Amino acid sequence: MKKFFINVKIRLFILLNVLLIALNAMLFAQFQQQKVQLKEQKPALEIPKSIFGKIEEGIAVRDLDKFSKFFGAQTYLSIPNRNPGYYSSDQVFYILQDYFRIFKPVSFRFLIISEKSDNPYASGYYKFESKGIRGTAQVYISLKQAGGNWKISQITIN
Amino acid sequence: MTGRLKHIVKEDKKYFFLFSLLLLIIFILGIISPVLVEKKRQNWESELKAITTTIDGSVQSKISDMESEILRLKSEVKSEVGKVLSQNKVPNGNLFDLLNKQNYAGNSIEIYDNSREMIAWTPETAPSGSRLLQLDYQPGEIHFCRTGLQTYLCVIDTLNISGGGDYFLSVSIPVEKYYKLQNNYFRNVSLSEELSQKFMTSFEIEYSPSAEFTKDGRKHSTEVKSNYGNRIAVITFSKPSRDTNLANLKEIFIDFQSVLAIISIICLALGLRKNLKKIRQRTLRFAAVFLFFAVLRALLFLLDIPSRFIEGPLTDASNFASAFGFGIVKSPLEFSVTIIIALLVCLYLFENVYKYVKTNNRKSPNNIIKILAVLFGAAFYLIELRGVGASLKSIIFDSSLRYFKEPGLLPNLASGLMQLNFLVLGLSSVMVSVSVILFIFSLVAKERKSLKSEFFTVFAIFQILGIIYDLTQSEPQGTPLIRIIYITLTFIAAYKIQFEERRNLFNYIYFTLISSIITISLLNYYNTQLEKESLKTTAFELTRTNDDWLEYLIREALFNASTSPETIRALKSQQTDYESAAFLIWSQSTLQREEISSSITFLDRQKAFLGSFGINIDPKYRISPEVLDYQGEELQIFNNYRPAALQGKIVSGIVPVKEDNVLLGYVAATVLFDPERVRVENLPGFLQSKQNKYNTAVNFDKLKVFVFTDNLLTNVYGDIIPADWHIENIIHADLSETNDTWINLNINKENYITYILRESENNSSKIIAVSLKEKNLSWSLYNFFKVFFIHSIFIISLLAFIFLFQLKGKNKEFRYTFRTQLLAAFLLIALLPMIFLAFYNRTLTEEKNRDTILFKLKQNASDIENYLKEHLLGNPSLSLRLLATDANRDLNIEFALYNDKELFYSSKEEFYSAGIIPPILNPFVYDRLKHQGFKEYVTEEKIENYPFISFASKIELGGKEYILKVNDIFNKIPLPVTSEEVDIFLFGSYFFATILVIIFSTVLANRISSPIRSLTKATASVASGDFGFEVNNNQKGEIRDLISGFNLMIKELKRSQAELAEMERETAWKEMARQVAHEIKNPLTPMKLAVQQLIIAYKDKSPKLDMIFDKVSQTIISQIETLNNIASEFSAFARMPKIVVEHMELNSVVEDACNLFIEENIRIETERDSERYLIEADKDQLKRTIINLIRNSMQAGADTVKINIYKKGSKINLEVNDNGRGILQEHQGRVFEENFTTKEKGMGLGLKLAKKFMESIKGNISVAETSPRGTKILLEFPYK
Repeated sequence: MKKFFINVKIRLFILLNVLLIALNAMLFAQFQQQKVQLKEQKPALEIPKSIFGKIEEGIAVRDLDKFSKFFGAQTYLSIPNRNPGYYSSDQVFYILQDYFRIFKPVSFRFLIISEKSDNPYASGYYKFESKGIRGTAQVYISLKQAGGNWKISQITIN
Repeated sequence: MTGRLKHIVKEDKKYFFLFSLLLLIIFILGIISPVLVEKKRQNWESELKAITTTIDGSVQSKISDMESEILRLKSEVKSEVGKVLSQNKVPNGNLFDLLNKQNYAGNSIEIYDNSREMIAWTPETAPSGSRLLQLDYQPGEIHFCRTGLQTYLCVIDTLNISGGGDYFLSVSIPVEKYYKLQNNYFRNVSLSEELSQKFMTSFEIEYSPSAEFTKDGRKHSTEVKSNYGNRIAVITFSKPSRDTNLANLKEIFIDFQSVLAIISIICLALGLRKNLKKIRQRTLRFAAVFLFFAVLRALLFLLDIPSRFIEGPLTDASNFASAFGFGIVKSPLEFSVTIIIALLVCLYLFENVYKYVKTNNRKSPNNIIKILAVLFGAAFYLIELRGVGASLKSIIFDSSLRYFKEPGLLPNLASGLMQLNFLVLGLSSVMVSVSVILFIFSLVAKERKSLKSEFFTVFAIFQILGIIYDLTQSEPQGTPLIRIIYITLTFIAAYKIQFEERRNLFNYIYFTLISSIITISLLNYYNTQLEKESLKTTAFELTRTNDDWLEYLIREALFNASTSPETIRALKSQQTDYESAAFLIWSQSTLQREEISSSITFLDRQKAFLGSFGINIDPKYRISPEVLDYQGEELQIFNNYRPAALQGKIVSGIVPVKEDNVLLGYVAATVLFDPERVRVENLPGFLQSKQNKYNTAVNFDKLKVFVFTDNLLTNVYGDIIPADWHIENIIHADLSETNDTWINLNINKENYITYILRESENNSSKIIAVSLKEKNLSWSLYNFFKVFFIHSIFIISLLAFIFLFQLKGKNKEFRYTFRTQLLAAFLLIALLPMIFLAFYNRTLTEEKNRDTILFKLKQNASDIENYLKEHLLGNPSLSLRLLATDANRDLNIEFALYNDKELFYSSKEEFYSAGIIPPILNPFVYDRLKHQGFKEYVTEEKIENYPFISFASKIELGGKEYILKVNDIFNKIPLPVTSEEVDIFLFGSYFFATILVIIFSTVLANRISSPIRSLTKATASVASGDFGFEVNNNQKGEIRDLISGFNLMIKELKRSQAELAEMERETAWKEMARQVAHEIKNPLTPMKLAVQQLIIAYKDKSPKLDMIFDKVSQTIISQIETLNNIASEFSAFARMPKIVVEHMELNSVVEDACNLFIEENIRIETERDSERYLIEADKDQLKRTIINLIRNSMQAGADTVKINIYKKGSKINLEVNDNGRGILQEHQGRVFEENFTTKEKGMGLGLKLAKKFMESIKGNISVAETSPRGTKILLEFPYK
């Protein structure tokens, strides 16, 4: 009888731990997903020029983490071979990641940075290499204020 | 430890060997790849030469194939046309029928008579009439020819028909399209792109005999020659880059290593599989499986498998991407991999919980554990349900797929996969939920009698906890109704499993059905949220388009135009098709992708108009005055042109185009910025990007938009003008810190959800209010069936799979049983009318829709004809072109007029002049109207892959015959219900009904055939000599009588058998007695005679007494020996039947024995590994022993018997566990004794005989465990 109860306790203990691991895995995975959103909540003190600088650097070195925190909840994205439209921040991140993986940046710089209006924008040339073929695309990125922070409202690459 | 490891490795050597081998290969590849890369780097010069030669050869081979193909096609057409023309001296419809055969589709073929008049052609024409006169090439010589938008590989040949004159034949195959459209209808044809992708380097092709070889040392040129040996083009490609080649080589190694790594971990898992089974603790076993799959998923993710190898919609993040778990669901395919692995884990969990629960014979834990179990279990259950809700929210919000808005019945690949994904997600969730319920219940339930009441208590607790859980959440996932339904459905499933005695694979169908209902409901719910959110997106969209953005678009289009070789070519060649060149620039710019009202215009050096292409901009506004006045040398943008007749303003730009610093001309671009026209209206379908149809959650037509500038209403989109109090509500709404808010407006007694956004622009305040009628949020059955139809295909496939699996598991052949016949009959009766009705309704709707389109087109044509005729009647000298323009403007109908086969007028002329639509009448229409005497004709046509319907009729205007043509590509005809909508509703609801019919038919067929199956099994048992049972009789009518009769017959048989046995025994005893008497008598007589002889000799005092004594003694001893022999023989005769020992598989004997109990009230579970255990025993006696043990269990009140077979040391153990009353302590030592029994009618021989049998094969039988909750009998067999 005693042995039986010890067995039940051990089984319950193991099961509890398995469930806790599963729950933790779920929570951790969700936490990862929320990272972008948490970053959004952080007040962005940067001025548009600084943000465009980070975007320029991020694209040039193919590191989206450098500016992914500026993606809005809904960002307008228009790039070749994909439907133009509004995408969630997660989608924009992975779409651009794929795009830059296929069209590997050779160089990138903004030629125009405008901070004059309520919708600052920058445009420039993006030189890429894709499967041995080199090409140039034009990039337009605009910002918009949301809750006191600057967010990327639109990205166009053609 | 080492010994244990050795043992593990020994068991599955091949997998461990493979694992080690693969690791070694990965290691070796890791070493040799840098060496090979370095070697290639050092020998790059020679490598480059070899690669260049190879590419050159491959290109020549490709060109040669194309030339052979066109020559073959020309010969075939020439021969066929020759036959037709020989038979019919006057060209007629046969020629059109011949050219428009399906196998010529996609090519351009034309026949000309000797006056160069085109007499027959294909729908896709590359008119070559002018080239016939130029005589640049000899007849039969292959060459390249170009229209404004495409280049073709062409051949022109002569055709001499004896007595019929000379004809010309032109055959062209498209090789290069210069324009691009960003939608699914576009058919790309590009030899240069094909070669670039194939050889991974940039290709340029100059399709001209005067083309020259490159002088750039980094490039290589190769000549394309015609079949006559003349140069017709030059192909130039960049010599492959060393870095790209080396990177590719590295990638190949990494790909290979990645695949090997995954295979190796699978081998390791297979190797450890048997050891997993040896883990006795289920929870530990589950933890191990969980860990393995977690590691496998992590490894797949780290190695980027399968995304590394697959490109396209399945890995496109726009179709779905979530940052969940570092990106393990970053695309539909990655989601599939994750969810399938999750499903396997959940399946394993469910199976283990199921086994645990069903074999549960433990004592109920105390109340604290019970309460904790319920609370913890419910918390896990509800968190898991919340997780499903969150996942489905992500599936809607992190995806551009609009599951309820896709056209067509069948989804595209990505959408189909996503629909499967969330079905599997729901299935996994249901399995976990049911497992949790079963597990909690197994802990809570005291004893079997009180199970149902406790089950309902747990159900009620879960429902209450669900409400409490939602109340504690700031943002609950899903709706309370969906949660209640989910809890109810999962409890029903758990109830079915808990209380249904037999295990059923069809449980998974119920799970999948629950999953489908819940996931679609959640999806529908979140879709309404997305639709609501789209009001916000619309407000953003209205503020997105500003001067900066439009200026960028113009700058981008003009910059690309000024550097494009096509623009330079167009301006240099002084060609007349500037419309085509303008269309090329427009189609490659963002203007097409964004569907913006815009135009591209070519101007010469003096800024005189050359040609233009535009969408929704009147030609007179395509060049602004500032553009004409501009004298600068650089690209320039102007944004202050506001024509009085236009609502918006014009933003335009101009760029000079130069070559070697010599001005060739100008290109101007113009965009119409009209805030009232949010999108281009009436954009032809073939030019639309997919944005309009798919990427918006709600139809724009349903939205009402109010724009305020400095608190004054400046624009209204939609059919509602807001009242003063609405305006007050909007202007004075309390805005959040993000300058937006949601309010409800009551307009015309309808509630409108309204999103308000305030923006500042150029020192003025702008408010945008976007409203949607609450009723328009699409929560409908249509949506449900749209997705359910796809799910039902998956469910029916699963059903078919389970059916086949079961079929394979039984006899590996199809058994045409009574149940199968019933099921087939039910399905046939129920489904045939449904299928017939579905197709009938679909056909009917299709026909009605087509009739509606035709009616409307015909009406349009009639209106145009009447308009033209009426106006010409009053004034015959009127210009027909001008009159047609008026008709288009006044009637708002788009149409085309043909003079014979040539286009005379079109209200959409620029599409023809740009070359997008051929200016030659469709050959089918021409043939029917001109050759076959039709007055009107309807045909289906295509531009790219966009289908449309055309109506053409012959009309007479000013004494001349014209052909009037209207189509539904430019004249949108709204349909009340589209074929797709009908398909979805019909097939969705019918498939739902089909699944219900299948379920009900299965239940009914099972129910009706159940007594027959019971009787069949019973008959089989009787045939094998087992009379110890009774068929349950809870039926009605004749079946009840039949079963009663059968049971009575069994009883009678049993009684008769007993009587017969008794009689046989009696007869046998009598016979034996007689035989014994007879046999005993035989020796007794000589013994008697001998003794009498001895007595006489003794009395007579015979001198031979001694001798007689010896003789008599001998005789008596001899007869006693005879008697002894007789006794031995009788004894031998009465012995048990001889044991026939043979090699046999233990599992199959156990299975045979268990099969006899299928229809009885006992659940028998066998647990064994995959190994075949061979023993030496008597098959019949072993089977009898197992039957005996199961019967004993049943008689001890058990309802579950679990048989475990496993190897232990040098023995094979067979355990028979039951949950019966057990054996009393005082009886435990006597159960194997002869004549010992606790049963009323028992003989006390069963276990005695079993023991005797086991001993006879050198095995053993013992009572391993016994308690009031069950008994375990252990049979040990020697392992052979």
